[in-house]
Amino acid sequence: MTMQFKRFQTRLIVFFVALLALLQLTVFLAVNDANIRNARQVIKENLQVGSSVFNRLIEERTRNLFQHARLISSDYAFKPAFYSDDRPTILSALENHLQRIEDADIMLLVDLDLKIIADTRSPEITSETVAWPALIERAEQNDYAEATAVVLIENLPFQIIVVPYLSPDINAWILLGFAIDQQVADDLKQMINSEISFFVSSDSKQWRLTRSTLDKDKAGSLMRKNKQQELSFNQGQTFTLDDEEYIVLYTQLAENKTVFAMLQRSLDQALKPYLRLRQTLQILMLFGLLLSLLGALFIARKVTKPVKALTLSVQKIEQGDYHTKIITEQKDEIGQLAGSFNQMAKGLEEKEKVRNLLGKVVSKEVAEELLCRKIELGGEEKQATILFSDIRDFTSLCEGAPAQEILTMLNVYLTKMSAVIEINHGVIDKYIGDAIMALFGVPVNHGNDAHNAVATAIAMNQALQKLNKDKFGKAIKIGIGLNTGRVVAGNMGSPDRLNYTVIGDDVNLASRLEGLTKFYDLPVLVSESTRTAADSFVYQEIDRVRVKGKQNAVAIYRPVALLSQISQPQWLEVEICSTMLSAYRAQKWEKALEQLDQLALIEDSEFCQIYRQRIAIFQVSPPPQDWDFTFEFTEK
Amino acid sequence: MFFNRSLKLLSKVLTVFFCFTVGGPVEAAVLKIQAIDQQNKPVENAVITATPLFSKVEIVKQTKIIDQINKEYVPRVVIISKGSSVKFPNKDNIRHHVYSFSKAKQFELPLYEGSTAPPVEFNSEGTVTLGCNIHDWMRGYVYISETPFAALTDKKGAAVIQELTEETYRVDFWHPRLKKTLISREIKLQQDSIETVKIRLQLKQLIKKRQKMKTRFGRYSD
Repeated sequence: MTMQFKRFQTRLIVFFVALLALLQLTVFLAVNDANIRNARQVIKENLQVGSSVFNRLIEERTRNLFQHARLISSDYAFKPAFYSDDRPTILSALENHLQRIEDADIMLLVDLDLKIIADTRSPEITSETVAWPALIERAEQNDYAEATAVVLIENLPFQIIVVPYLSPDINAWILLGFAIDQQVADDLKQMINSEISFFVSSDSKQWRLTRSTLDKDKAGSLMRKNKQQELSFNQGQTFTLDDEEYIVLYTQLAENKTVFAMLQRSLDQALKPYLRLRQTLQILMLFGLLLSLLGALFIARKVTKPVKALTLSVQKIEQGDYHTKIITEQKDEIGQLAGSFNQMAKGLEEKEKVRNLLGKVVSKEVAEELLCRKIELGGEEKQATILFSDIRDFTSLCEGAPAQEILTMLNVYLTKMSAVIEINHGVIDKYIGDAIMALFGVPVNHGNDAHNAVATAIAMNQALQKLNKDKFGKAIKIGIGLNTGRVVAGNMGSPDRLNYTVIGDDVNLASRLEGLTKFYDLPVLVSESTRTAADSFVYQEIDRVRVKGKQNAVAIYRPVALLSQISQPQWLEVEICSTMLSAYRAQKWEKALEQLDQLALIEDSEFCQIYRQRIAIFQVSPPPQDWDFTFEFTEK
Repeated sequence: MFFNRSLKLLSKVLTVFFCFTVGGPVEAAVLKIQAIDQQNKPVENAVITATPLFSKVEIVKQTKIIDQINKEYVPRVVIISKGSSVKFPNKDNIRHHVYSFSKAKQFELPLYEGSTAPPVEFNSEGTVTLGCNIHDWMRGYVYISETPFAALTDKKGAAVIQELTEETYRVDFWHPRLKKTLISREIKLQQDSIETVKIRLQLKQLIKKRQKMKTRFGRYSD
């Protein structure tokens, strides 16, 4: 599963908190590990010290015992008692001495044949061989006739020493001993601050727990563990007693391997101060995490809030609202960004203002072209269809009407026409009074610009019909001329004041064609090139003309309708016109007139009148030999 | 008392007389002893007594001296015949307390100086171990012999008993550190002969005199 943090705020928080958590975890683990390891080491060292202390303690006590024994050994007062041969007296004397020695628990007098003379532990015993002959044998071998050993008496270890009884030569052996009992264990525990347990064994195989400073429950657990042979008796062992981990050190008490002490220390106890520290550490960590969370949240908010505002503002600008402004008091990068953004919005607003103004002065497309490109004088040759439209008899229309009214009417008219042109992707080049010059194919080539131009011309007439009917209440007529050809399109004028427009012969021809509409009393006239370029329309050839200032004659046409939408009567009209023109051009005047009569039945147009007149003239004076059917216009 | 003493003197005179008259100008038998211990080292201060098995020998009472010099008994071992006395003059400038808890003679001479202590008479045969109540290491031994034929080995472990006659003797060996109480041997001596006896004594280890290795205040200086 992959989590995705789409929001910057979340990412920032997750990053910071995760980083801190990781760092803290690492520190925590390292500290924890070091502490536990240190605690173990300290315990081990303490146990070593404890072991030394324990051995030293036993040594000291043993030494003390020797010193006491030596005093007794040569004590003069005891001698008469010893030689009295009266056992109760001797025993009493021994007990007397034992009382003087705080450190000793038992005292025996053994004769040279190792028979017990008196034993403070068992007053009734006499003439029995002592239980530890080897100890006395060792004393006999010793330079000072002394020896010591650990022996077991009823499974309790005793440190026993032997010194000779001198009166003044060796006449007997004095044995003194102290028990390695609970008292020793408790003393030791107080000194070394470790638990201590004594194990004894008579065969070095089966070990018994005799005394321990552990409390009853733990001692019981230890005993069970021992019984289940879970104690390895190897150095460095650790084991748990009632869920408490202990580190253990074994120390041998005597060479004869009957007793050893197990020093043990609870790891948990040793770690207690650290555990408190750990708790504090954990709280601190939690606090730190919380703080970092809040901090990250704060910083993220500080960053995301202006970013959000920025986003909102950008969206507003996208929708065209440039009045948006980000207010921030931050002085950092975000603040700088907000400042820059505000600057940008202001810039965009100004640019948009200019663009709007430009759009009003020139057409949208031209404005775009001007804004997009580097504005410089000059142009390029392009294929374009030029439309000229003009209100017929505008001057007479204006007569007697207030200028304001005219202007209002003109504005309504131009607005409507402009809309039609723009809908058909035409570009208004300029208004010349009531006339409109529009371009198709520049600055942007749409691929079907001639078609658009013809469609525009038809639509303009339709729109005018509607205006006439709805707004003006009079029959305003317009004439539209269309021509397609290569033109030069570009910025013209001076570097300070320029105009995007087109120039060329074909522009002039379009203008001339517009002029001819009045003559033929037709709403639209297109040139041959336009007819060829916009071939989805059906055209009616009107004439072949040579306009003023032009050498070449051009055929002029009237667009009838879209090929797909043409009606039967329209077809008929077009066909009659075509037959009439053929007859006319073949100088079959009668046939032409016949056709004209038919045409007149449909509509007795100016077209019919013109050709009747011409035929009438040609019937009187036939056309010259080189007649090329062209009608020459000598004025504009 | 007087009678007793004069009787002893008489017997001595008689013995000498007997030697000269019966034995004529003859050489007496000599018993030479060489005592070694288990390590073949010569044993000093070993007591050797020769008791004739068949004839009786007159005992002459003596008074011997054991000095106390430099906190030691000098000599360490003294052989006396039964009934003899030992004087314990103190040559040190400190007092000594001589005592014995031995079966042969229990006595004590509580702290005294010089020659103020009376001589001690030993009437039972056996050995008496002398100690000093205030000096543990001081050790002296009085060997109370039944026979006048007795000798103490010297530093080389050698001892000689002279003026013995042709007789079978029980020769007893004793030493303060002897593991057994007493070693006895029967030896038959020929007239005019020198009998050499080499004896190996199993001795107990000598207990070392404990000496403080360090001064009381320099315990931890090593």
